[in-house]
Amino acid sequence: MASSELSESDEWAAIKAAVRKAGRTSATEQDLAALRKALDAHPDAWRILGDLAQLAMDSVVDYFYKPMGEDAEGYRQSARRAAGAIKRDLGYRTASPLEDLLIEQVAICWLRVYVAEIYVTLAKEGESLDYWNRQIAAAQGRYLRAIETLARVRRLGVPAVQVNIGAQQVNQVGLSS
Amino acid sequence: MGWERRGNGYYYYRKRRRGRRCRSQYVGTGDLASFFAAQYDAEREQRRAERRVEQQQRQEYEAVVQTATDACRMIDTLSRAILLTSGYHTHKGTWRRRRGEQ
Repeated sequence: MASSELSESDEWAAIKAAVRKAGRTSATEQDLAALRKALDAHPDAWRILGDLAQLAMDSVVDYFYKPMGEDAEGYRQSARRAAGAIKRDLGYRTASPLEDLLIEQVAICWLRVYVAEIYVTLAKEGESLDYWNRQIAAAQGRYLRAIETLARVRRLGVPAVQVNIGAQQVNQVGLSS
Repeated sequence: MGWERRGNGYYYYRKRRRGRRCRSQYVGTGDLASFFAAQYDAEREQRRAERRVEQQQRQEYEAVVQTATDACRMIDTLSRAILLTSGYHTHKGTWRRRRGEQ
């Protein structure tokens, strides 16, 4: 299933609805059981979300360097390396899959801020400058939230949870700490 | 911006908008006015072309942002799901371990 299909699928809608219900203060054990069931019904969500995060990162980089055409390949690679360095610094691939996803989110948001900051310096006075300033504010807000989510998950020390990825494989999803 | 007939002559005026008000600035008449009119037309066309490019650039940027936002929202949802199924809940906006959970 493609990532865009996942976001529009009935299974994802069921997960979202179950998260909403289980997240209420009045949530019951049945609501939590329904959420577990909804997650079990979509075992490949992790892999697809990882692909979606990678796609989002590539599209931000491609957008930024598109005007330069083929000549920009070197710049593209260096932007990807910079994002890769951020991910590595945050412990990507040495953390749990949940943390890895949150690290991907931080990297995407960092790239978004980076692109918006470059465009604001290129923008002329007036409406264009206002537009890119609004984009920076939105990108920075999302970036901060992504960092907060990662920090929160790490601080909470979520215990390991088993989630099936694919038909055969079983991975540890929670945090090891 | 344009030529205006006043009496028996044609005169070229340049229109400029300041806020809500449009201000008319006299440029001239004859060949000199024609020269400036052509120049202003070219400048206006260039501004339009720049606006079109910028519009296109914004549309592409917003599509990219949409992809990134979709990914971030889905990651948020999945991380909330994991926290909830791991025995956490939110209390006044902060995540806490549910009472009695190890």
